[in-house]
Amino acid sequence: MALTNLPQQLLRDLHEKMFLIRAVEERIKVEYASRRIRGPVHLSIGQEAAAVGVLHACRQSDVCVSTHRNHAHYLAKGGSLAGMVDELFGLDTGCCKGYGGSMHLMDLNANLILSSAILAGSIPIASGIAFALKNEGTKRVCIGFLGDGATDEGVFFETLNLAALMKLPLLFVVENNAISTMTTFSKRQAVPDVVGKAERFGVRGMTVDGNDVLSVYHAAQDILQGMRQTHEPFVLETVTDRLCAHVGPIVYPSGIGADDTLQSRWMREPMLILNEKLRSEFPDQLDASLARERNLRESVDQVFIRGAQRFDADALRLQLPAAPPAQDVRRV
Amino acid sequence: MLSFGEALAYATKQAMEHDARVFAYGEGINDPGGFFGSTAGLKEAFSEARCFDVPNSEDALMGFGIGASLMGYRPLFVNLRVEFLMLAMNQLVNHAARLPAMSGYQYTIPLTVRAIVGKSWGQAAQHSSALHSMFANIPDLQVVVPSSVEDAPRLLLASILSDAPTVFIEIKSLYDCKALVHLPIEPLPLGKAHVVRQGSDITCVAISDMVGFAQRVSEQLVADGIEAEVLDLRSLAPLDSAAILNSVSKTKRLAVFDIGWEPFGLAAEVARIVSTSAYHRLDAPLLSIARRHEHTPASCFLEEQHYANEEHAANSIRALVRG
Repeated sequence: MALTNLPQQLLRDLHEKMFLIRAVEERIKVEYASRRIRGPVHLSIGQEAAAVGVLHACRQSDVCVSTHRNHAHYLAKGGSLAGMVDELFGLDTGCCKGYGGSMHLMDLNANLILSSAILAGSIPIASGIAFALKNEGTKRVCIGFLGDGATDEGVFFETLNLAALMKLPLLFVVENNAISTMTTFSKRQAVPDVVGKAERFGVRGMTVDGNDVLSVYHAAQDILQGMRQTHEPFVLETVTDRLCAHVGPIVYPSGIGADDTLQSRWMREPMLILNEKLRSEFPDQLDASLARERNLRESVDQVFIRGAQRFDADALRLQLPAAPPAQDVRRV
Repeated sequence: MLSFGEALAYATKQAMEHDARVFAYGEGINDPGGFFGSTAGLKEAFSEARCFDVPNSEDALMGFGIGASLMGYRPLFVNLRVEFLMLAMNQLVNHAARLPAMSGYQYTIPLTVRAIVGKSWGQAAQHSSALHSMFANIPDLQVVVPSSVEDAPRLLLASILSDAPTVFIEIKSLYDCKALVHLPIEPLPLGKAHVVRQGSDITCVAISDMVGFAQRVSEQLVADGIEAEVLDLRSLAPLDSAAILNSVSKTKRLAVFDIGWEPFGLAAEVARIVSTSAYHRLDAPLLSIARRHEHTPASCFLEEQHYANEEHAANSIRALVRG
């Protein structure tokens, strides 16, 4: 598709979301050193395009589930930034009231309803959500994010079968960064072909460049439009790169990933690709784009500063309830 | 008169009539046998949309139920043998039990999981194990262990209506029983034990088909002038600790009748409750009646020795009470 035909607004929106996620995670790196964030953080840096492309193409009412690496999905789905930051700081104003932390971000208002830190854990749950959405008779779909690591698990194949059999409106987005913690895809699967396997189960699929947010967005738009008619599952594989280590705000360890270098990955990372497009298509918008980035970074900083202040003031006052409020709850 | 299976089917039907968000699913749920009659007639009454057969994928199916629960449904996942839940432990323990807490208790998982313990008739090691203690160790997971045809449908209805994830454990031996069941089914409160026999000499804490076992043992003891109190816990989580302490404060003696193994089992938990209470000293050592801590043998000759024996239990209580 010729970029000149793209609405300027779309590029602006995608840029805003992409930059927001990047700015938040860069800030997490800083805040981690202050020891106000205590717990594992799995950064999405390098993989944001799948989250932003798919979730910008979906509707707010579509339901999303995520994994331990959920920051990008949470923010792209419209999760509250303050709720996320307070959760990272362990405050009761966090999106999980301090019970979840980085690996379990959720926001019922944004319809991102769970993040599981057990590999492949959210995959079958997505099928039950899709079943409920289909029964509703609306055109809502469920979107489940997973990495290539989760496609090693048997439950992924069980769920593909279930979704095909029951014709569930379920979109799996497999962010294929070709690495699971430190083990490459080719060392884990004899046939590392996600889409090919899905198709043998009766689930249609396609592969896109997961570092190009526009490619992901257009693919997702077509797929979701089709799914709202057919109510059938789909697997979208986004080929991408993880630019940080599996866990923790540390740089990618050297010698991992085998066939290319970290430097070459940074040369094809999603922010770079998007900025190149913005520059070449709308050169007159460069100042506006930079101003947008400045504003976003400032507002992100403000949320972190407020969270840090509350952390310093309130941390010692937070108490577990005498008993968990098991019955005093609301449902999605 | 309803059989155990018919009573469960009645309770399920009543739950499905009461609430359109209740649905049932399981491997072979609509087979002619209908899970020993416990799911018979559901498909006919509510169509396959609300009572459906599924692939042999326990892990995925448990997650499926959790997902539907998150969207407000009240799924009933039926399993023919409790051992198959081992294939779904990641979803049951890491997700069903934990997601409410991980969300800061912003939502519930009103999922009920039925599972049958196949006791005797050569079921062998993989079709007759009682795993309730394993489940009851997990926070926020309810574990219900009905003991009779009268109680089971009332507890099942309560489980389905409850907002918490619940494992409902049925022992196959109860499927041979019939009883008069009051209709419509009234749900029982979960976590309330039931004194099925009053007595002053010893408290017999029991679950599942060991309640009937303890009752029969108690009748044998009457001739010896021993009056045993039999307490049916009905559920392990929540557990009615107050009822145990209340009975023990009267009898000062305690026997625990479990369908499972002793190590880290029901007797250990009841002993913890009683011994950590400063006001409930026992006059005699705790007596534990359970199956041998071994994997169930298939042979009918060996199987008989594996399970607890009523005669032996009665003798042990006689010795305990006479001091």
